[in-house]
Amino acid sequence: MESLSNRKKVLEQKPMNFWERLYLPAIFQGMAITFKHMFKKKETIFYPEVEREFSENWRGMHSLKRDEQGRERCTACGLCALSCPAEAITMIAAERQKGEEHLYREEKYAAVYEINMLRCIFCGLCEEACPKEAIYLDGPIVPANYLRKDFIYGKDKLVEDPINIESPVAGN
Amino acid sequence: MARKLLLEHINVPGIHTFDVYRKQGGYRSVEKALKSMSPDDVVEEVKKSGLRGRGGAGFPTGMKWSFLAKPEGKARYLVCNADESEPGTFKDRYLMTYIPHALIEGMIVSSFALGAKTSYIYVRGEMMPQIRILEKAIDEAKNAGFLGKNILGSGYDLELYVQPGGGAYICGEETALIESLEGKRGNPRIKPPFPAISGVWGCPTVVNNVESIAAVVPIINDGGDEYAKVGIGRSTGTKLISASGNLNKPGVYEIELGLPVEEFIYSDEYCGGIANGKRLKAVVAGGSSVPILPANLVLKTVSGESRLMSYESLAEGGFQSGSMMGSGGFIAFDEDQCIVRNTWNFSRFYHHESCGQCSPCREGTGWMEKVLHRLEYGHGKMSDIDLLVDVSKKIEGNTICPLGDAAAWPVASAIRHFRDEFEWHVSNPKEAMERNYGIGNYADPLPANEVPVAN
Amino acid sequence: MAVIYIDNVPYEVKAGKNLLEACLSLGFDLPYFCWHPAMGSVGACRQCAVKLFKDDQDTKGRLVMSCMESVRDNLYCSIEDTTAKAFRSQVIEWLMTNHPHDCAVCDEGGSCHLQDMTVMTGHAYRRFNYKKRTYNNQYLGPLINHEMNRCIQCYRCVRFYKDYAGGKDLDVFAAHNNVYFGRATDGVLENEFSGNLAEVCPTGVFTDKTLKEHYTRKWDLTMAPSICQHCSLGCNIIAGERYGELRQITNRYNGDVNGYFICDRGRFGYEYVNSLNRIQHPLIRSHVPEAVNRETLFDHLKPLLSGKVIGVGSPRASLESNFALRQLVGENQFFSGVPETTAEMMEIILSVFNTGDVRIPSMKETEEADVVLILGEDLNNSAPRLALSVRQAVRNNPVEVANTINIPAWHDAALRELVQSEKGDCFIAYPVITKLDELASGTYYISPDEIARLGYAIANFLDPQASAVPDLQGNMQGHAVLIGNSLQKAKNPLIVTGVSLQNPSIIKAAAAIAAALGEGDRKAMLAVVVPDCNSMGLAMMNAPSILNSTALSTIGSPDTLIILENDLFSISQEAQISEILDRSTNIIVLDHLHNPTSARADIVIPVGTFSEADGTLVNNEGRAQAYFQVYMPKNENLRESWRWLSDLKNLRDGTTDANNVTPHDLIRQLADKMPQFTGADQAMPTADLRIKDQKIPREPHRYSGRTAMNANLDVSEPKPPSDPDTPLSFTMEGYKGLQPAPLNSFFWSPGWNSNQSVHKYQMEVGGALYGGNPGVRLFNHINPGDRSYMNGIPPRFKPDKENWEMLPLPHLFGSEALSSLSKGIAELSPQPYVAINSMDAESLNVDEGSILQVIIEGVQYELPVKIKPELPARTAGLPYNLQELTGIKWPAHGQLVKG
Repeated sequence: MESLSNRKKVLEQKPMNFWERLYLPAIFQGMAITFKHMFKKKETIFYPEVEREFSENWRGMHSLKRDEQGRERCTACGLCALSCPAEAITMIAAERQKGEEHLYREEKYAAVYEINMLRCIFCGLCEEACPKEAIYLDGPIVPANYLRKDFIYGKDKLVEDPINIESPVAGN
Repeated sequence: MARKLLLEHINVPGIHTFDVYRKQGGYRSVEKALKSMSPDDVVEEVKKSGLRGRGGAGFPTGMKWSFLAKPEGKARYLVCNADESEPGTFKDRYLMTYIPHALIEGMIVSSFALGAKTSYIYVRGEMMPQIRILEKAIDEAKNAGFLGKNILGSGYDLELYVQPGGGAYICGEETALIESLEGKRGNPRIKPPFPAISGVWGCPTVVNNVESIAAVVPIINDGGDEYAKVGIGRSTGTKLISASGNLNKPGVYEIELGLPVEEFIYSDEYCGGIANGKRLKAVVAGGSSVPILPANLVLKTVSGESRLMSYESLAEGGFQSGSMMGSGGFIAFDEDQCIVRNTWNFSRFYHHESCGQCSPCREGTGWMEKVLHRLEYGHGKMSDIDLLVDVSKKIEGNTICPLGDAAAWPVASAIRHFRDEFEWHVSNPKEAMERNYGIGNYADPLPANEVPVAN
Repeated sequence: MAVIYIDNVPYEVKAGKNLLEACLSLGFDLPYFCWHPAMGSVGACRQCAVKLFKDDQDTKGRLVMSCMESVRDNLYCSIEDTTAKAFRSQVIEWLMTNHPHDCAVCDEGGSCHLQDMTVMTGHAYRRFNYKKRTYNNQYLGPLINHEMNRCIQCYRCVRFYKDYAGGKDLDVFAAHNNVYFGRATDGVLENEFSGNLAEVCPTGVFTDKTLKEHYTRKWDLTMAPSICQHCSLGCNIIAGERYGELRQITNRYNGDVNGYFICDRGRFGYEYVNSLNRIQHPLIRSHVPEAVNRETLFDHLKPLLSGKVIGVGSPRASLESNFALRQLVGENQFFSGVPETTAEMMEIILSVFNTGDVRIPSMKETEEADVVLILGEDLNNSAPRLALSVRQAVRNNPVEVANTINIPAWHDAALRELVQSEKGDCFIAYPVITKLDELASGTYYISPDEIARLGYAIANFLDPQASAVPDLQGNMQGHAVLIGNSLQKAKNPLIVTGVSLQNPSIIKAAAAIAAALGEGDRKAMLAVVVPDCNSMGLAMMNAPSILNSTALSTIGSPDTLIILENDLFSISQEAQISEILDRSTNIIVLDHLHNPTSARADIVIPVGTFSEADGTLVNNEGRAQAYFQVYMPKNENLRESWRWLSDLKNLRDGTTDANNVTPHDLIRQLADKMPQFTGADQAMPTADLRIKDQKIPREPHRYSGRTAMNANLDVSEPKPPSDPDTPLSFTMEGYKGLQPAPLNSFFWSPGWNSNQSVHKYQMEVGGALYGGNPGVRLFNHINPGDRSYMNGIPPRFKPDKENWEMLPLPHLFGSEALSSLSKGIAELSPQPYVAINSMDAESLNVDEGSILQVIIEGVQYELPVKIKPELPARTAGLPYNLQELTGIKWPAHGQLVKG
């Protein structure tokens, strides 16, 4: 039958000569490669004891950032959720009350912020959409888990630790 | 001495009182008009005189009057615009203070011509003394039978009211004035419809400047043709000029239109030259809103003729090299004045006085003021100068009322003629804080036939 | 028609419009701010600039504001011109100089006209790098939030609030780029239409405060076309939901009904849907535990349905639900759950509408009236949106004058200057001062009976065939002549009346005036305000009131009484209701909220509110309009009443429906059974309607978080709920183009994310929606023949020393039970009071605020006195249907005793 795509290549099988039929040269060639690798640097990394060095634009687990005074940057504007192609982000916005100025940077904040990590494709569009520099995919690999529900990451897992931030205001 | 029509008797003691004014021949025009003329005759005389609006725009007064709609059963109004608040202009205040009856007399004749039974004098709110003077003058005129019911037995009734202004420059714009007079916020209206169709309380209205109305008196007394003989070309009659700035003798002068600018500045009859023997750097010829001109362009036009104090001559050269008669606020700057600072000052005024209705003026004036402030205080960039030109160009002609133009012109013209000085402010910020640019080449004679490059 | 050339392409457009409207109607995207289709042009924002050329030879042209340019033949303009484009982008740059760019925290973000226009003009980079001006915000009450920094000074708010809606307490202050839009001091906005500021404002200065409590972006809402449930006018609304909570009500344009605006009760009264007081499970009181599942319920119900079953319909339930109940209990066992007097008045209204002696105006048509007579209604409180229409109507006469001097109707600025405070004639007869009195050329503060007598006197003046009023009070004839003359001169007179004062004679009198005015097929307009959102629909079913004495005798003692979505204890005296309830062995209540009636029920069945159900309502003009379920409640017990009732019918008959019953099926059956509903089935589309084989989505295509929002319940994504009842789908999938107008779930168009996109759905700007405005009018009959008058002139009102006449005074906030459950509205509702005039107060020796005992048929209320000097003698006003004052049988008389 004629090929439909006109891309069909007909391969001709040449008959093997004597040396080839012996297979020995091929075996030695193969073993040589094997032995050579025994003396090379190992590529295997013993994760999780050892972690691979990530490139600068590596996209890992999301983190919700705080500003230099330790206040949450996220204002729950919803642009990350809007841009998410997997529709894996959802949030509930709340108004900052009087006296909470040290907790939240602007007058709105995310009371609930959830990412369905099972759905997330780590495309980084949320990071790109964020007008407040509040979300970055700068974390480690999202760890495996036993239960599906443990892949729903709320603010408890996403928000940056306040302790890491040196701040005159934090802690009051 | 040149001929005086408005301020002829200004030096007569007690001219502000009715009796003295009457003795000097005051209210003759009322008698003449009401007894021997029809309203249309009066309008015709004013048309013949070629009188042009003295408030700034220079629109022929007679023409304006003839546009007034006269629908059945609707009142008509004459409003005198005495909301004089342009920086550099103070002629109306002078007139109202010293010879109030000239205005009252003009109001009566003009109201008669327009068929207005009620007329208003809208006086700038800050001019409280003038308001009292006018009210007193109205009382006197009323007692003498020149106001009220059946004036001089002619069957014509007129009530004249003085309305203190709302305290904003914009209320001097005729439609904003009408709004303010109605007790509303002084925001200009969109034209059309013009006030001549729908003005105060939706009725046909004419708004005229104080000086225009006062000028009706000599027109009626001597006849329109006689008046038209004074002046030059289409700039007929006399004009009050408020001269201020670095002059030896600043003040209000009545000039015959057509007087050379040079004579006005340097002759002893008028301003008497630049104070302290300095040199003239620039002139704002008609109140803060008209384009500023450097000394060489204000004394001579581009074609080398000497510039005259007339509507046409001052405007010769258009926006490239001319200016405007405006309201006659003549401000002279000597060599020690900073044009950037002056432009900023004007800009600050227009920003503050913008009513806030339409976007270009509301936001644009504020922006220009901020840029100019930065330039003046040595933080400017070269790109700021082009930004100013761009913003001012976009404001010009695109606002509801002329305040946008008034704010844009001084900035645009200052940059056009004094760009060196602006650039010097950017390139030498430290020096600019300590001293002024000086006269530069602004007083140098113009090379023959060279037209300044347009921006 | 005129031919205009836009960028050298000829277009035929309607004359008499402005260029901006013409361009938008043609589908061009031209940015604007200050212009509003309902409010006209003022030319302030300078955003809609285009290049205008003198003729086809002119290449220079000049910039003009398209909203200020009349369309005329051979007009040449250019939208694409580079200077025009540069200027438009410059205007945005100007506006942006002081705009805070806080879209991320702004409630308007995502549905913001300013965002849309900024993108449209292409302005992207700022050159302004100075400090922005800032303002202090004001507290404007529990409904509207104020954030002045975002203001771009388009003046739309004050133009709407002051000029259009007649508000007094919002204004513009200061000057230049520091102008401030707000109140003189902090305080609650007084106008009934303040909520529209949130929609009129092109950016986030005025926003919906109730939305803020559970904030959601427009793109994240599941929305459906709906009908307001809080008065009889049937304003079209869009209701939006997320996370199983109703979150926002916005206006849905309907050119015939509400146009661009709704009242605050309609906009903010939705929170009862999210109430904790909702009935969540079927309850059987005798069962332990009370809450049962559906099987147990049906097992329990089956025997109860076979005996004598009486059904009580509801004026706030849909036609479908009422009809399903009627089908279940049978025609003769179906009663309406409205007070007796209301039923009587509804009967009169129906008979008037059916004679064809009057023209029944839509709200749009009322706006075109030139003389208005209001008999016995306080419109701002009983039918607020109609008050807004009347406010526009009184301008018609003076505006006509403007046309004679060539000022076009869209030129709002010039019109207001010319018209000033001149108004057309408007007469109001009502016992107390109403907000519309400021428009009126004549106001008459008289008792209800006297209002009716005045009405009859006018009718008699207009047509001597109408019966004369005997014993007319002194100046009444004079008033009648004055009003009659004005009405007679009118080209398009409008009579407004209603049931508020609980006086049937008033309606008869109003009908008599309208009939007397009409000639041939040119009938006068008669608009009638009825109590509830479906009062008209229920009345058209011709069921007698359950409180009617003859009805009572036929009821006897039934086995089962089914009460549909109705709190009977709120409509009449407790004793009377208890007497009826006591007759029945079993009481079944279907309702969405616990109330005194459901507390008395043996079986309570939870039902969906308007946002959880589909249905059809008939408004006061007899317009059948459909509303659609917004979301599928998580609790599957919350089903539509008609679905429960259809199930109960199947249960009793032992049948099963092969197919799902849809609301359209029910309406069709209803129309088959009762010819008066012919046409109503057109209002509710069939469930199998598809456009290009697709359903119509309830969610915008940018809806977010679908795989995450329910992940806490079930990580494996559940199938989205399907909607077998209507052509709408619960997801974002479906047909994205223009839908039939009744199915507009939201207004959105590419580049137009805000509600301003509505013009993309209109055939011409401000005109009808594509495919016609939603709703089907059920009364279209005009009788060109003889006039008929109803008699029943009440005797002259005589102040009774002992027996005071009680007047029910409606309140925008408080008089409607469901909306009063919203937090903000409850806060604004009045405290109970008794209003009397100063003379009576003197004779009772009481002052403002002192406590009076009010005794109505043995029930005693202690109320503070409010002095309303205009009240007729020996009448006392009580706020109608306030929570503390429900259960009064109107019309009522009572005694006032100093306490």
